[in-house]
Amino acid sequence: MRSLLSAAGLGLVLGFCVDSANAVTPKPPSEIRAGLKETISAAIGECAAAAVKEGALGSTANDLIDRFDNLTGDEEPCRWTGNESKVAENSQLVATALNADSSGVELAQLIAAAREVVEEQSFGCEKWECDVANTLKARLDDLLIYVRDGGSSLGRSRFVFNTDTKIFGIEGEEIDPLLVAMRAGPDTLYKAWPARRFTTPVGNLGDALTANGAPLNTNCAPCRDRARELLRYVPVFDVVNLATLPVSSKVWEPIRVEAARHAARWEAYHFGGGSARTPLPWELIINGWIYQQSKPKADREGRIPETPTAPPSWALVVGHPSVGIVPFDSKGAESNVVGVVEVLGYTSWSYDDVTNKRKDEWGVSLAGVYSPREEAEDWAPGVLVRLPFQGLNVVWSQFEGANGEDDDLVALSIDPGKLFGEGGAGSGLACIFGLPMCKN
Amino acid sequence: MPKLKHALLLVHGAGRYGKFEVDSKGNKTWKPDTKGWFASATKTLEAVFDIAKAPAGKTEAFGDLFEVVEISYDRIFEQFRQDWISQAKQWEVLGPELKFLGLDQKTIQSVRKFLKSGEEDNFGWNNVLDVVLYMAPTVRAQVNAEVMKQVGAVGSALGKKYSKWSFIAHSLGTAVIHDAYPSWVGGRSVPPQGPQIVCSLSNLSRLLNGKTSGPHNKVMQPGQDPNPQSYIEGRHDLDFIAQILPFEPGWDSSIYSLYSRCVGLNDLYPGDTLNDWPKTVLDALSLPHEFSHYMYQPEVAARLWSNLLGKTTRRAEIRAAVEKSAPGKIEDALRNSLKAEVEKALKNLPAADKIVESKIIQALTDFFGG
Repeated sequence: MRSLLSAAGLGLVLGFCVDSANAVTPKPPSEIRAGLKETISAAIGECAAAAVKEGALGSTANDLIDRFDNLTGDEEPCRWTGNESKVAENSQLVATALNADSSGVELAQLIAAAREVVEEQSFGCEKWECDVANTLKARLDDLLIYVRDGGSSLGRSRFVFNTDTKIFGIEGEEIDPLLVAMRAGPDTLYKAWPARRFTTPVGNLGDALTANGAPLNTNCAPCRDRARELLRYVPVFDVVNLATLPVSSKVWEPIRVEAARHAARWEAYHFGGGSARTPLPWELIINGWIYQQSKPKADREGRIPETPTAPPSWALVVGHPSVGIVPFDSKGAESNVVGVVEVLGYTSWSYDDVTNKRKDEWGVSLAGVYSPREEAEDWAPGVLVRLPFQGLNVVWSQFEGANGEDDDLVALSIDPGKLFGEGGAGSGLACIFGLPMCKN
Repeated sequence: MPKLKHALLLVHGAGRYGKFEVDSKGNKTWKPDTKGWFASATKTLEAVFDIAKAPAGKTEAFGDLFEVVEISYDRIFEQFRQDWISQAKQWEVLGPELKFLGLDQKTIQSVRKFLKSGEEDNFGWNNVLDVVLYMAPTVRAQVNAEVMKQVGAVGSALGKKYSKWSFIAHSLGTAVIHDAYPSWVGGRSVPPQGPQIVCSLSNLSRLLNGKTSGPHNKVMQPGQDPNPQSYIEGRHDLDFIAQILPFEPGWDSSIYSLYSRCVGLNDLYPGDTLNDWPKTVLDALSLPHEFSHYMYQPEVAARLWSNLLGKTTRRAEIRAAVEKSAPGKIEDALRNSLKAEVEKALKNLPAADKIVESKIIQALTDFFGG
């Protein structure tokens, strides 16, 4: 097939640019199809036979052959399942790979021809057959894109055909198992991985043939033909699976990294201000609503974005009580400890690029300050300013003094959990101020 | 090259599984699974695997083929609980007479009490609180990112440590993966390798994530990457939580419709980790929700293990083996003794959704033999 195509300089008009120097004369699709089928059957049939003979595949292939034999008995109906879409999809993928020669044009021809076959087969198909056909068409379209791009990116497929290096496989991998599989032939292939058994990405091919409850195809002849054809691909699937794993991990890695960054920043968003700053239920509701509204419109309407919306770097503070300490003269108050309730405030920060923790946090809140005293109101309005230092906040308020004049009150509102907790840097201070966290 | 295994990503439901511990130097660290749920669930998986492997024609040990990977997010909920307790305690510094902005003492005390409620190890309340917290958008986003960080670590190890991966999620965990996984992979131009199986037990995703027709749910439908290859759902008729809003995705996948659904279960299997089940009506009512209970359901076990072992043609054999070996299937005597208790409890139930209620009563009636 390959020699036929290259020798005759045949080609199809595939709707993308082909260098005029390498232009080839279109070959009738029917001829390409016939050649394709022949080549695939021969190549994979050899491979499967050798593998089974050597016993390298263990029970996988043997099981399938047993079941296939049972299945194709005259009295046994043929049953199929949706699994076959995976089978067929990968079969087609392998078929194109196996036929890949040193010419990207030729590969593209094969893909286009395969797509035509699928298109033809899908005409008037039953539902499950249409599913298979549509899956195949999508995958083949993907493959065409990569051939056109010269394999410059991974794109939406796991496979790349590099027209410069003539490698069809995994970009950037030193070892390309698929390429080895394609070029080495069955003997080398199965000696290379004698102790390994990779189950196929299609699951259990036998399931596709015999599973209970699957749609019944009463016409056994074509069923058997297709089953036989699919069976030949079994040994190759193992290699395909192996070949795709490194690419899968490469696709997963940026997701892991991105999710880890988001997770760390959400941790900082909720808990990075210290335990006293952790949002209360009503703050979660309000800020959660704002976060939802801040998402891109398409996302709010249901389209899934490439990456979820990042954590905000600001939050509203609403009805958040905390405890402050008056470090100077408390001027008539019963205690150096004051209560501070931030009625409404705004706080913003940035995230450290390395640690993803909050930094440079500033904020301001209107607050109610509670400082019990005998001769005056216990409550007074005030302002809380949040500073970028260890959750330190400065509170200012004015209480009515004994002589009728307003006395300024300055308190420090700190996260006691951060500074005064057990073993914390300021645990001694808790005792100086007589706070209950001082256990001794 | 090390032998590659199939990673089983076990995702827990609502509730406390680990806890924060403070060492002598005052450093607070998170200790996962201090209650042993993951250990127990892994033991159950191994036990059912041991039953299933012979009829599936396998001789390997569980550890030769699979590795259970714990996917946990309970630390986030626990952090909220602990910080709220801490805040409520700090306010007590100000004395019992604190009043503010016209709020009366009773209201303030109620808020304090709510925030301190996490101090008690109240199983039911903590479960409810977890679900409520998960409904907060920013908390949900954190949980999703945390879960996908862990899932991504498995994905990144494909080809090095793992050959495949699957989700086995329970209760709230089902809602989490139904939201987290599509949110993080569904919009990718380069889709990552999806799970071989999503096994969803007591599925709450419709209840907690809303409509099932959206694009997020389409990512969970069996299909091409990043979708799973198969989806197995377990729903017991007596699992009230899963019955509130049953998962009905309306998928057109033939794999799902033919192989995945595992609903209408009604036999009770206490499983190997539940020795004293059930002593009370509450036990009896919560038993069907348990992970172990689902794992020992012959239909669930048969579908899960036949698929995981690549032997779905042996499903009937696996089912028979699990049914025969499952320890402690509730016998008639116990069933009868519970009947009166359950009927009494049902009479005292508050008014509920008529459809759900009728389903539950029908299921109970069927279970107790009318």
